[in-house]
Amino acid sequence: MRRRLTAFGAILLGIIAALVLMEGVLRLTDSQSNSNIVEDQESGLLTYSPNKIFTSGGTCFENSVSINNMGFHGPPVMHAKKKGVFRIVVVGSSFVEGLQVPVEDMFTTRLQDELNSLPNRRFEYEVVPIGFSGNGTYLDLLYFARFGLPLKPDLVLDLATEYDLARNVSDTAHPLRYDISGNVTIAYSRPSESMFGRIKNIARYSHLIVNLYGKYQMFRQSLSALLHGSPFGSQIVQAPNEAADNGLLWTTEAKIIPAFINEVKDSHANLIFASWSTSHGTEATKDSLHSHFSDLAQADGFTYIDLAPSIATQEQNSGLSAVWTCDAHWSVAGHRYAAAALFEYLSTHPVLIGLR
Amino acid sequence: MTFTSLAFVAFFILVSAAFYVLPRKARWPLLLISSSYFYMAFVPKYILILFALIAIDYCMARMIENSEGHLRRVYLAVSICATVGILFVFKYFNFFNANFTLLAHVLHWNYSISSLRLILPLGLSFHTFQSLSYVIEVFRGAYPSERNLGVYALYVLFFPQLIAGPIERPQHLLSQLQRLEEVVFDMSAIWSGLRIMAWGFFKKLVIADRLAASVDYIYAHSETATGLSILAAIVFFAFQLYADFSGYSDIARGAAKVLGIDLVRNFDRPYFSTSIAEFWRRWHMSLSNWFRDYFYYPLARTRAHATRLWLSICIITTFAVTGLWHGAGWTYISMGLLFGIYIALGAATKSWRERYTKMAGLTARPGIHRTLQQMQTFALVSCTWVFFRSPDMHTAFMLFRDLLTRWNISPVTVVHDYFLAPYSTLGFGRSELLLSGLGIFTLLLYEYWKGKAGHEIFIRLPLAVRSFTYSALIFSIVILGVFTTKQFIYFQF
Repeated sequence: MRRRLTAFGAILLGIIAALVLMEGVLRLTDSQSNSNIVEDQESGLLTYSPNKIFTSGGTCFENSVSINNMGFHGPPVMHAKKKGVFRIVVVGSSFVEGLQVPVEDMFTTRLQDELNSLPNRRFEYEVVPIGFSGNGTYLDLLYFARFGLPLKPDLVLDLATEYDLARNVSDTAHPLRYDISGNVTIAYSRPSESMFGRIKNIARYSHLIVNLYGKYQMFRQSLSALLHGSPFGSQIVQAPNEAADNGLLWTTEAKIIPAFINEVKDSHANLIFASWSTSHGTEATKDSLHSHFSDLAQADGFTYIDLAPSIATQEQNSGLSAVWTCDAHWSVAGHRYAAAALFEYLSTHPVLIGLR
Repeated sequence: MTFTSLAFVAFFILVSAAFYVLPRKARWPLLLISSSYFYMAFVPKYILILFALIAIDYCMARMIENSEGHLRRVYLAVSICATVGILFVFKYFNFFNANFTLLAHVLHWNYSISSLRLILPLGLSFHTFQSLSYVIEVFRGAYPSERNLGVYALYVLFFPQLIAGPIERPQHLLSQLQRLEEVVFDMSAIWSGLRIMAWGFFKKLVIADRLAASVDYIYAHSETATGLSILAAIVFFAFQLYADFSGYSDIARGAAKVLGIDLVRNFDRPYFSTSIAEFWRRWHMSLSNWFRDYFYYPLARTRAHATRLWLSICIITTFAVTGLWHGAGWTYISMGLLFGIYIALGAATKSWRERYTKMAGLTARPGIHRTLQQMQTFALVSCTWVFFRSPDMHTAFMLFRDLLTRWNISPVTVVHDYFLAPYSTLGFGRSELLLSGLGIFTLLLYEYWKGKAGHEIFIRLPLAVRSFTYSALIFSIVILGVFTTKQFIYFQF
């Protein structure tokens, strides 16, 4: 018995030492940004450590990420809005966050530059990105209420992908909250209060746990592809992404949007929803995003822009892919296309940017 | 279903469990069916080519054994023609046709045969060579022909070594497959197999696929790459190729061991070789031995009194054909020719080099001498791999030209561009560079240690150290592995 216990202890010691070694190797080599994340004391929402610079990289790009004074990737923001400034707040997930490109290449920066080059402009335009990876549209609403609303925006833009819709129902740390009338309401659930939140909080300090969580997600996708794929033939089976076709996601979205409209209305701003189907999405995903958002825009009276057609045309004309080869996020070209698509829409709808 | 996919893990667990649970008589049918499924998971219809190959060689071997005199040679010739014919049609026809067309154009001949639109079946060069070794061994009387068609089919189709070897001989593999019923459940053998597999996964996923990103990037941007970037690509590719191919061989050997079957070792620390001849005795050993036994020896023996010149011609020819075996292209032939020339020159200058070594005082310092020889061999091998990796001869020559001429860089630039922010020069970030360096260091350290202490070095270590080593190996694969859908390099052959 004693010998067995000693053997068990020796094995356990070896495993723990290996885990410590892995954590060390990851700390030495990991360029991921998780250790730079902080929790907002007031809302429990996650942001980056303000004014930090860190490296974000894949196998086909490397970017020096500059976090601004608000804790988001983007240029510094003055909280008090100066006179003569027209402020556009852009909320969203990783596509708004744009960790893959420098601040000057982000579509928000480019859009700001293009608006400021309008010959007939009456304002100085400021485009403020408030994006954080992994957010769904409900979290976009929470981020807007916490960080965007105090900036007194004149226009609010929410950029959503099919993943953002799916996260509204899968994010157990931030479940949708309803008031007594059954309407979606803004209520912050401190992540550190739930078990998931506590784990997530601890995980921020361990590269190993973050890495293992990522591998677990990858494993789930591979397993799903294995179970749903053909047993013969070696075609790479993309993880099934039926997010945009799922009825539950759209009924949830239909509840979130009125809350968003109310919140924006309080600040006397206009609301625009823009959509983009990621490179993982199928043609059906694109069509579904377009038709569902168009229907909601008509029903709730907000502006909707589908970025996909314009980006596809620009891609075709220039021959440069909108996304990185090693990463599904927008490349420098992708950000340029998105900015051009938005600018084209806004300049042809001057009322949205205060020109009429 | 590549070895590094989740599908293979599930497949392997199921097959291994069924192998030990089902009645022993069901073992060869089980392995035959699962091997056929494994192959069909890539492209199903290609299995028909393998079945044709199996049927021809099975029948010819039986007929060779049951006949006498020149008829045996006829059957052998039929078997070789059919097997090599299949290989030629699928792999070489378009290459030779294109070159004949070019030659005919230069000589103003009227030659026009259009190219075939065929896709090379996976691992065709491996199965054809394994089938050939069986028929030749039966012809030589060194091995009796197999009566059971199913067992013979399993010899060609055995899934761990089906796609990229090692190329087995009937004496070694077929004899084990005939005795599958005698395989007992041996936990230590299973552990040993899993250890070998884990090391193979480490080499493929942590080292090879990580280095691939940088090598692919530099080759894709070769027009603007500096001499130092090209040098990095050459060194990285040497390790990528080794880690990729030996990783595959280790997974194959480990998987077979779990099923109670020993496959031959394909690599024996090749980058520690002190000469090119020694390198080829340690690199892809099953292929070098095949060419030595079935090509070089018969060719060399065609002359009763072999002179050094004749042997040199035989060596160079053998290596040129070895290069051609790898792929239908001048780059592969050039690679083979270069290796042949190195070995022939090495033999011709041996006495001169020994005198020079003595004069330089290196014989008194064997450690330094050995290290210098290893470095020189590694440099020659790595440079020759440029032909293996380059898409065409022009790219290979341009790389060598740029390697020698584009060195207009300052030390400050080198530190910044290659160590601090290496993306634009090496094609991956600092963390990938560090991990690649750590991976290569671990590989070389393990092989050096294995060379000193033998193959089963870990068994003698204390339990806590073993637990640490195996855990670190498994965690490294899961945590540091590059999980893409990148195939093994040798799958194309």
